[in-house]
Amino acid sequence: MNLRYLTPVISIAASLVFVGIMLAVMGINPVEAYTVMFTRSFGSKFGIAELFVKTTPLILTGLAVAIPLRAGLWNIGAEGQLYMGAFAASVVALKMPLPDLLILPTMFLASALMGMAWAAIPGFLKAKFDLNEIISTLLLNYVAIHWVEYMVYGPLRGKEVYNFPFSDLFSDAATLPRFFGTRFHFGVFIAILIAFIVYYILTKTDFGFSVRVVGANPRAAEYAGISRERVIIYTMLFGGALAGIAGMIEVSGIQLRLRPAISTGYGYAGIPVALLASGNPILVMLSAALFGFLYVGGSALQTTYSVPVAVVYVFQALIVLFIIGGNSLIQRRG
Amino acid sequence: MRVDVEAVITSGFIISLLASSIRAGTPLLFATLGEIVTERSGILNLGLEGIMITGAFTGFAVSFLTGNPWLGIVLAGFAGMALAFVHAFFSVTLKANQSITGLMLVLLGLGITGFFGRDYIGQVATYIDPIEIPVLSSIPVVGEIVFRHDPLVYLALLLAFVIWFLLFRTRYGLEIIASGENPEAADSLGVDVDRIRYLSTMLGGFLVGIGGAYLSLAYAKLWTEGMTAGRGWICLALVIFSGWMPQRAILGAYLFGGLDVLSFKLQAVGFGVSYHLLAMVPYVVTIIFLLFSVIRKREAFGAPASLGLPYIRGKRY
Amino acid sequence: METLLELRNIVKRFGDVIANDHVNLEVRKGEIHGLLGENGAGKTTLMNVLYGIYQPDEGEIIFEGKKVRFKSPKDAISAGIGMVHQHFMLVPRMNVLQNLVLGYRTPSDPLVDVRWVEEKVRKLSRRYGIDIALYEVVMNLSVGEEQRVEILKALFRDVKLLILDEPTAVLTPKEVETLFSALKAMTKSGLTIIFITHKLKEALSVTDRITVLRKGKNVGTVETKKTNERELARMMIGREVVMDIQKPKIEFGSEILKVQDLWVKDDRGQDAVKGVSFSIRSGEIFGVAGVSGNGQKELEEAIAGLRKPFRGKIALDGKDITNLGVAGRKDIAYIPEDRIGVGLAPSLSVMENLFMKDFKNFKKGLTLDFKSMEEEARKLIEEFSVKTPSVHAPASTLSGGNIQRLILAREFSRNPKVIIASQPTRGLDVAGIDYVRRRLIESAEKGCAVLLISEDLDEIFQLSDRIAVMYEGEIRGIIPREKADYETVGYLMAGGMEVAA
Repeated sequence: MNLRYLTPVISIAASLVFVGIMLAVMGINPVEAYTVMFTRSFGSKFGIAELFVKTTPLILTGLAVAIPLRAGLWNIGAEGQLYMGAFAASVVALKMPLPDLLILPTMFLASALMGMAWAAIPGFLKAKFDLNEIISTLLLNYVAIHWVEYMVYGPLRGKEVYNFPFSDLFSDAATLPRFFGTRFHFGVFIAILIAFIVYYILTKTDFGFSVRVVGANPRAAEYAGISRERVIIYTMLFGGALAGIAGMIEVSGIQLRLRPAISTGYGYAGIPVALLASGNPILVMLSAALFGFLYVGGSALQTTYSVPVAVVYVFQALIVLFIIGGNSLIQRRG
Repeated sequence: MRVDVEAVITSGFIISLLASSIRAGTPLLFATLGEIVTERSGILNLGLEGIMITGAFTGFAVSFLTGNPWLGIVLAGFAGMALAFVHAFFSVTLKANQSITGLMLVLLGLGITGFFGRDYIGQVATYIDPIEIPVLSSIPVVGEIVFRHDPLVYLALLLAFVIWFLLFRTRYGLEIIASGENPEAADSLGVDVDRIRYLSTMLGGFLVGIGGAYLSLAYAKLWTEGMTAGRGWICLALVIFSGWMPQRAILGAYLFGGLDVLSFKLQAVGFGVSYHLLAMVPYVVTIIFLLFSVIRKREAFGAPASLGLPYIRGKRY
Repeated sequence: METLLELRNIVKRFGDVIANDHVNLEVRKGEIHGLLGENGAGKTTLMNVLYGIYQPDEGEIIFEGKKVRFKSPKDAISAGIGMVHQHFMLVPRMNVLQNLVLGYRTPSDPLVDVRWVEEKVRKLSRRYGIDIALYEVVMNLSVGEEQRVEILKALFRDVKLLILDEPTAVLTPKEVETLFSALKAMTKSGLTIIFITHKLKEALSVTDRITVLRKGKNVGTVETKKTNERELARMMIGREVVMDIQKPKIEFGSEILKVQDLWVKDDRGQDAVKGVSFSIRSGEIFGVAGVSGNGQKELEEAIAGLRKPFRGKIALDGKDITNLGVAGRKDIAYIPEDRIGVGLAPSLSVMENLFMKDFKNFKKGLTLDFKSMEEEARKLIEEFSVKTPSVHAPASTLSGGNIQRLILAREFSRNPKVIIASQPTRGLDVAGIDYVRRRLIESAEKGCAVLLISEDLDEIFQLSDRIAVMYEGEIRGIIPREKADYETVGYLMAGGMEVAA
């Protein structure tokens, strides 16, 4: 029996037990609660569509964390990059007079560039001054979130939103097509396609090779004439672009306007998604699906028992912690 | 749109800004001091944000349920210590990647407090009130700025010196610093590095937890989900800024406390810039300060040499 | 003389590797006992077992007539055993006093009683003739001073047995003399010393008895007075001849590498290389002798393109390359001293490590041609006889000798004009040393200019055509091999000024 494949299963089970205890403390029957989570996710086409819809941003933010992680960098800023991408896409959707056919591609490009620009700051500071990227990417999240708030309270506030801090709804040409009469939208395909492209780039190209060397031993990379600085900046830009695209997909596929709180921690969830997949872009899709399920289940719990969505964070943290614990126990025995 | 200069002066703007800087800086000071102790021993605990929010919630809930805010403070410390223990277990015993565990503690803290905190939002607990120190508090200006705070403000200041003394004048301090600089050397002289790291991490977590409780029980005097708003991360930057020196943490904490309150205060006097833009300032300034700290790189103020690295005795390469 | 320490049938395994195979050792009170053996013979492992860093898998330790078990160094220290490790165990950012007192309970514990420590150190200094500034920060000390702190650390804890692991590796000949006379003085005051070394001459000059280890087993114990270099070498290596490389006469060609008035700073921003000039011709091996830390690392990194000089010029084949990075210096091969930390990405595969520098040559369209990369890799590991289960195995699974072969395979297969070899045989076994040296000579025959940087004087003398000595960032004289002798080079290494040739 291979323990390595068993650990994730046991970890997920253990997390369910742990959260079950938390639910019980709140006076909620955990078995019932988990039944609700499952039936809401898998019980109807709407549920399954929601699974895809929640998995989509997680694939992208998971990749946004995974790519720099392969070079040994922690991008904790996917959340902020997502917000900035959403902001850029919204500006295009709301303010730029473009032919209908060009709107979505322009939004896509704008969000990728904005996400890149936002990730470029910590990337540059890391490469040039060795400034801790964990702290800088994280702090920039708060700046990005406040920036979007400023926009929807000010310059981008809509005319027909009463006093809510929302932008106007996007025009139809600026929203992603939806299918099956559900919220399942075109962004799902974009994310899956991107995951395959990232896999290809990281494993088959010379860029991917350089990233591997820098991630394995930065000093050896310098010794081999691979510019560590360039790899740091490029992987951060790459990750930032993907998180930015996630932002565009959220506003043009789900929210259909810019508003505060467009992400319920998708950027942070990218960290466990990437870790669970150990940085492999194909596996990122699987782990994103798992966390997507937790999100759908989490909001089912919220509507049924008014349990805060924060419970999803607990799941994420516990699964990763149990897996680390499990792996290190296996290493000790073997 | 113009700032009324006269109003600023006559309303005691500066005085009240400085006084509230100290209050706003106190939770930062507790947490920064805690992390200094932790990092000095070689353990990097990135989970400050999660531990602080756990402290904030525990303190508030205990005070709400028992009516005793001081009990809340103490139990918040123990809650912080419990989370720090988890980190120590993974870092020291399991030799796991310290960044990952720390980050997961943030999610765990935010998640658990968001989950259990639902019923406490909008509630009123018993808070810790300022005291006026006899005689000194009646000194004009200085009295108002310095001597009319709650006891925890003074405790935090005192702690900065206690920790300085602990680190640089006692055997324990030498053992903590050596564990963070060169654990192999410490081990070769019979210092129990694992034990030192466990204890330092847990002591650190205790102080961070108190810092969080200060937020809900003495500073903001309320409980909301995610109320730490990145303070844990700012404290991580403050540790670097202070060069891992407790006495230097005081200045940094009060400075960032000041930045924190500045946006509110400026709005109150009709400063014509959006609150949302002002609210970005502390985060941006933190990054700039951090940049200065790394550019200024001096050996004496550098990070502990073995920070974040697990220690495995007699490891073969 | 009575027996102080006895190790009986000590066995220590690391996975499948057996580092100590039923080793016995008996040390008498008041003697200096040499522990002699090649690198990897198990000397340090044995002492780490004695000192409580490792737990033995079998066997027992008898100290002062009692059977003991040390779970950690703490137990060993309190029993009266001190150890000075090969790599010093000091905290660079603390001062000497803090390093001495670390983990020690002074009378005012938990406060550190500074006056008490000062007094105790004064007494020790008088007794053993060791002098040291207590309030100097350790990172400002010289290597010799650091070693004195290490020894003082042990004496401070009133040890009865002091273990010294390769204590002379980092010292100049002059410092070695000082150390030896201090050691002899210490045994007169009742201390017992175990002296680990792989150098025959040292073992003969300072010890009373010598135990020889070979491949984890003990070969025997001899009285120093009754033995000689030949016998010890035979015991240590297991065959008569130590090293037998005949360097053929090589015709020098044109000047390949020229370094002019080079100035380079170290990581701390101090001048590490101060105005070094030399040139190497095709076919020539230019040896740089000197104690580590005298600017060699900065010099080789500047030539390899890893570190920017702030003054001076480096020319390759007449072209100025001073401002080019590593990627622009494809004609320079570099075998770094820190093979695992710099020369290798241990978690990557053998193939990836082989093509860490040249992977772009395999670019086919947008992707890399991994098939032909694999073929190339197979050829290289065969040519350089790198022992690995597959080209896809992580490099970390290779042994030290095979890691060095892997690096040689990568560097030599690029047809370099210049080879920088830094401590290329350190830590290798006899076969590995032999292989590396032959390869270096072969490259010179093919017309390479070789810059050999080594602390090992035998190696320098065996391979070099000219010998330069580096001291405190300067080259203190360049001597043709046929005019050079150990004495002159040793004198220059210790900071002596250039002798009139």
